[in-house]
Amino acid sequence: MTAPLPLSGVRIIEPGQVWALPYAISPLAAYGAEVIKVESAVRPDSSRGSPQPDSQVGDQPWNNGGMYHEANRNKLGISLDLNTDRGKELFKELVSVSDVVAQNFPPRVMRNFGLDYPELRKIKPDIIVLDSTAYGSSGPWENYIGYGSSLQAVTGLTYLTGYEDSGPVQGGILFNDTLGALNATYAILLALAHRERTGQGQWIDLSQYEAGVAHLGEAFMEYEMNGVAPTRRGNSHPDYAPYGLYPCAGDDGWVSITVTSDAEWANFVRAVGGAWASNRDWETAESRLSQRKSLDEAIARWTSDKDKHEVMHLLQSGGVACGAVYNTRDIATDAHHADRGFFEISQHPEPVGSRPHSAPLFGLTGVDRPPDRLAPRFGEANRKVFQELLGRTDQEYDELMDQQVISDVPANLGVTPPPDPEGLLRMGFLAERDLEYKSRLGI
Amino acid sequence: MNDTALKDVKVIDLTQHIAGPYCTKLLADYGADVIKVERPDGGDPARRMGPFPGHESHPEKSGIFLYLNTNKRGITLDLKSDAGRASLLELVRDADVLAESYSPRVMASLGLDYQTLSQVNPRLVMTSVSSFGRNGRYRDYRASELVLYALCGMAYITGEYHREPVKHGYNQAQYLGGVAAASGTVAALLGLWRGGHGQQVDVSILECAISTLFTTFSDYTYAGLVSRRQPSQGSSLRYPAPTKEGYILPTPGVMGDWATYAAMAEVPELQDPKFATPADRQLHSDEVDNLLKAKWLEKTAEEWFHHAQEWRFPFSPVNTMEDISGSLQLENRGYFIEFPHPAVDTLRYPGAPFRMSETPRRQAMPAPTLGQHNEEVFQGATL
Repeated sequence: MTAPLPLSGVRIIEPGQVWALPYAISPLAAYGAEVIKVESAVRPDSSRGSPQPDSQVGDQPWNNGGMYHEANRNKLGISLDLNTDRGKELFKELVSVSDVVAQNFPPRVMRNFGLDYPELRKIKPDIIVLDSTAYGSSGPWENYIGYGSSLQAVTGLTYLTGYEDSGPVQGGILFNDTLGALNATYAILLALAHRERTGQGQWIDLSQYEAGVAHLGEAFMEYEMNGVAPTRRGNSHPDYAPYGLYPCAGDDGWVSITVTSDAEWANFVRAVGGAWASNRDWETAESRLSQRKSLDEAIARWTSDKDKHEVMHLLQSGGVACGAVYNTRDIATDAHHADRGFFEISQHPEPVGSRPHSAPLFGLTGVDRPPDRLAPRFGEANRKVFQELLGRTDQEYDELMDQQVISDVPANLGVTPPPDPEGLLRMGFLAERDLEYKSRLGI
Repeated sequence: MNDTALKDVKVIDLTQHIAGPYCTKLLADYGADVIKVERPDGGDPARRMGPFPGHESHPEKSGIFLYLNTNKRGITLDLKSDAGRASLLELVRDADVLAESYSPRVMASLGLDYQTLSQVNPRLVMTSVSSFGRNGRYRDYRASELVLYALCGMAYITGEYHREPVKHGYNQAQYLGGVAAASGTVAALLGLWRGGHGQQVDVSILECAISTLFTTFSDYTYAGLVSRRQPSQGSSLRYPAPTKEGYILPTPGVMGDWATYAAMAEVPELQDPKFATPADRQLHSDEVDNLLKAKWLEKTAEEWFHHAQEWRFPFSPVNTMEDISGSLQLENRGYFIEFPHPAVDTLRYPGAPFRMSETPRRQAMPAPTLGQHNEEVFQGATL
């Protein structure tokens, strides 16, 4: 017997932008919450247009972006201009029949609208409000702005990332947006748990700065304990060798190999075989650490003419922690993810067509998650929400449209033509433009 | 008037290392009664991981262990012995959650798989967090933080163009796995309280790490574009740049136009029409880089940060842990917490990852010493 979806009957209002907040809400939508995403014609979610299918700007490009689809499945979408009095009234009416409001504008925005927690609580005393901001809703930096890239730097992660002999390095683009999103999901679930048992709502003030520092706890403790700020150490580990990336055959091919015990080292030499099997030079952890450089060179000589996947499966079969350095193509086509159904294919209207999207990051094995519903087209649920839920008549609905309080089309399309892929390739920004990607993905 | 969100939720915690303990720390910090079960011979391997005061290894002084195990009680049990296993089942009988972070085959080999545990306690939520998840062909593969960073695709796009890929510092994948596991646990509890039943929660740390790739991932699934480590052209706008003191991340963001950016940066030469569009700037990226990189050296990172923020550009300083320890913003919000522990006395720790107005993070107990609560817990169990 399967259980009901744990969040069924919970209504969440999401005036959310881009990734840090929409992605936080997406697992809640997948597990049964009714999520109403609120945008406005003047300010649609700026992730709506990217990336465009096959780098071609088609009809209604604001409905076709892959990143938007990924973070907004299973939600209803409405447009509502909160700069207007009627927009604010409708928003409050919506809050009065909802459980959670989650948003990621800077603190001043909802305050200026008169739609911050103290105001919303007057309308719905047990409402849960989550404000996800760069630096928090108080303090000298409360009005400072930050994106995922900014947060990576300010939290200390950038400084701690990079090679031992050069400057700090940024990793990826959106890393800290996802970090903030995962924390926001947990915070909302905690607040729902409390409300379930006590009937009490509350305000959650999520500073992505603070959430990010919490994920570097041991680096902070190092400074607190010893008074020296830790720095970059590339891919190496202070206690273990070998622990690094090694070159493989093919263009930009690499494999990671990490040995963290003498038993694992014995597995390694057994799996590699040949002269390694009888080599006693590196039997102990001390000898491997003190001769790290010559050990790394010897392993690199062994890996350099082999395929990265082949090394990974050979060593893993022998009981050694090893992983090929995957690019996005390797990930999208990996058999393990297919085994787990991590990527699920959704059928979008043309020009998008079939595309894989990822499952929620926590699997609840006792419930049957229904198939994904597509991310909403701009203003798609306007009628459903304003008429069915809030009871506006046809005439009132048309008036709201005429007055541009609500809309079916964003005023600013928010889509800049994608850069020419061949140009990006030529300049070195891409490893590859895979013209066969659809057949590889089975779409 | 303040309460805790997970009051009266009892968690039996078999997790070790980082991801699992971070999950149960998040449960404990927000009110759950977490009983951490460690093996009698040495306990959680995190006790042997640094940092240590004075760099001297000591099982009660590991900075990472002390941080990841706040607000938990600690007991020891040998799960390979019949007596240990029986004691565990006794604890599971009236628990709400059992959390574990072993490789998936381990719990079954101990005779403690979900099937068995749910017979003892049908309302049990069992949270399993593992590197690759509880099924799929890599299920039993071994992993480390670096291996996960390789397989999640983040390493491949991080680092200098001509050099090897590089991972993020410290243990980012593990923490993400921990947060997702905490969410799964509370989602399952909510389901239970709202008329459902017990179930197993399955979290793959690798999948959590992959989730940080977007939009890079959609670039492939929507357009076949495979991203990589980027060439240095135009890096003055994207990458950390040295200043008079420290590094700044000079992100232009999307708020301002180029002329405003040039005015903010006080480089009038950049207002030349030849730099007007992104394509123009790409074409003349060497000139842009040279002008900006020289300019950043005129002020400190701290000065550039506040200056750019006044112009509404999302610059940020590239902070060290020393900077973070002295951050006025964190200080003003009372982020750090300070409390004593029997082995290391008083230290400052990172505090709540988010603030809840009615159910704030609590600080009731420091991390347990090995077996600290054996008497209290086992006496309670037999009464």
